[in-house]
Amino acid sequence: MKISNIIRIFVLSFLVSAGAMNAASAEPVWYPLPPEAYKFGQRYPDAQNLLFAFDYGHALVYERLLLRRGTIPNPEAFEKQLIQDVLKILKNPPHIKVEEQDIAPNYVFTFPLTVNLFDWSHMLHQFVLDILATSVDRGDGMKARVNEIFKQYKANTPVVITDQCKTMLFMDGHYFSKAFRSQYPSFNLLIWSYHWFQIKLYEALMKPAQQERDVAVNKVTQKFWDLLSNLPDSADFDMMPETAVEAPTFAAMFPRIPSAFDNNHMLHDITSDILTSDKVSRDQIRTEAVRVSRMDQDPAAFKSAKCPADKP
Amino acid sequence: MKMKLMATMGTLLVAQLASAHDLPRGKVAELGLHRLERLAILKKVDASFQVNAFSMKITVLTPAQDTDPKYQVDISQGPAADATQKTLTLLADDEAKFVSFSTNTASEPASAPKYPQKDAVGFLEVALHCVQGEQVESSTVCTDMAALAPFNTGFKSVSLQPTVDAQGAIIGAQAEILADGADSKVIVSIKNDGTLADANPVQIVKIQ
Repeated sequence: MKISNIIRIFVLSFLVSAGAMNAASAEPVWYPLPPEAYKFGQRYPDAQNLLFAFDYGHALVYERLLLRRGTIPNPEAFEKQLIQDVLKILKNPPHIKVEEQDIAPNYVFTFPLTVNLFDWSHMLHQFVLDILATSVDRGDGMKARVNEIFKQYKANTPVVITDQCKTMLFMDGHYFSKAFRSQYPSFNLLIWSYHWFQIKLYEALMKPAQQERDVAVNKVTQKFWDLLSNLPDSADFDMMPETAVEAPTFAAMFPRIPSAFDNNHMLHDITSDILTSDKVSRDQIRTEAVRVSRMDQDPAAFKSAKCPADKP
Repeated sequence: MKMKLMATMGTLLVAQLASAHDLPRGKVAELGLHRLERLAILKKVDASFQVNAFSMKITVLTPAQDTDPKYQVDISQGPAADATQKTLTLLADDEAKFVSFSTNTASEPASAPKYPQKDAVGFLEVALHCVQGEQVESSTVCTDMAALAPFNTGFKSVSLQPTVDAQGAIIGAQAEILADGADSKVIVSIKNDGTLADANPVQIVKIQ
């Protein structure tokens, strides 16, 4: 056989196998599920159900912003209705993870890459909670197990959000930035309260004794409701809560995970801005969504020089 | 043994106190901008502060008690014809958590530039990120400039001026940053879209 043909066969085989590998792992499918999966909810059902409700709330607001785009004559009234509807869900939350395509089909169709990144990242969020809530070993064993899950998360590169710290300009520096918080300040603070709650759960679960963890989770849940009690004044955030700031014990043990979470939260806010800003035309929404999602995956985009995890 | 233990505890206490106060003042200034934005969005202060912010300065206070504020951040609009300046004053604790605000009585700025894309606060944010040594979009100019560090830790004030082309159209803004004890100033040149200018985006020049 000619050498050129041998080379052609080799290159083709390589491309096919590489393509097959990529195609097999391009979806946010975690198989097999970790044995700890959703056990956080068995111990802390109220907190778990709130997390399910947040997913529902995010999808609902994105769907409404998309469907009502350009036809919201009274943003204050729109926001008030949205908050009422979401509070009903929070007070009577689902007990399972709701499929976004069922509640927000237009959003899922318009933001396919973003949705995949969120889904994969939310699985990391969940499984880390599950391990922290159930691990008998509170030291090296627990740390190793979380890092194992984190490694598995990072291996699915087509849908991984980077764990490299980004500056706030990633969220606040685009031409469409801050549109959502300007038009819907109370709902924006509701979302930042969700993020605060999620982050604080990690910190609560770092307490050494089971009883301490149980008390801490209850306190975080109560504080969450306090944050929502009189929006906007009850949620005194000037900016998106950051994981390393709100969960320092967790950040010390797992230095790279906080930025993976923060980059997810920033992408949520950016998505809200794209959907709200009149500087983004309807035709541009999908391409902008792909562009910012790719930035969220790119460790070099808006890279922060102040990442605690990068310190020697 | 007792003395050694006390000395160790004393060192730990000092270290604790030191860490609570070692927030660079450039960071405090940036947090002040975020607080201004919240107040303007919630209509607790006039939105003109966001659009017409002209200068910002930080004063480190000497609290008499633990509950007294540690930082005062003043954000002013441009000077009015009668030389007054509308000013928002923010007070923060030693962790730069803002605890109160007030505004003065002053006249409208004699002239306020109409930036076509970003508002004034947006430009100030970019300048403060730069002086903190952070990347601005894909530019690493600020990250690579170690000489900016004293302007972050010792940040005193920043002021903003529009930059215009030959036809007088606004093409961006220039932020001038001063620091305590520095005989130079930092000039950050920013385009309308918030990216750094192509030529001489960040300069450190002697104060005349």
